[in-house]
Amino acid sequence: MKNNLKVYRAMRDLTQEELAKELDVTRQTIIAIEKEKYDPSIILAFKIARFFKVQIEDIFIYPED
Amino acid sequence: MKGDFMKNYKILRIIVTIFVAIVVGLSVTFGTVLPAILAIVIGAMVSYIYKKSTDEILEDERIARVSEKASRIAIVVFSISIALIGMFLIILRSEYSDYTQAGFTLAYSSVVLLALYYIFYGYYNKKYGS
Repeated sequence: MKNNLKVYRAMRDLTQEELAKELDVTRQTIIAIEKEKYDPSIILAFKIARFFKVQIEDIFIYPED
Repeated sequence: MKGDFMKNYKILRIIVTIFVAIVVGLSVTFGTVLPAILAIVIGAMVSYIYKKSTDEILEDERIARVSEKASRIAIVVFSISIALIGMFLIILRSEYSDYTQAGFTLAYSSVVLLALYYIFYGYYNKKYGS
């Protein structure tokens, strides 16, 4: 699934490691999501959206959209 | 550094796995149970203590998913392999009679493994709403 995580992370000037710590995941998971190799669970997607104070759809783009 | 800790953790897990495998293998060869049990307990304790010694996240949902997929494929490959090897040893019992018992053991092991898989599959299938 396409996503804008890297953009939002850059807007907050966070490193992958810092974001990973905030979300209680490993840095490898952030890398995998940004590279669109891994689609996060709905819980992690919500956590990411809440962290950036946006809707899930702002970060994750469902292919049909 | 986090990267170093993760790397060390992976190396430690490989070392622990090799250590446990060697001790269990030797225990089976020499027909003793105690070293195998001790090795498994020590291996689990070392891994647990190392994980607890840090606040770093070493496992998350992606690692759990990777582990699930790897476990599933390992079960399929292993069960099919031992079933086939067991079957061949049983079929060739007239030529290799010494290995017939091993053949039955392997064949039954594959059945037990698959039975366990389906028992746990049923349990989790029920747990998660089906």
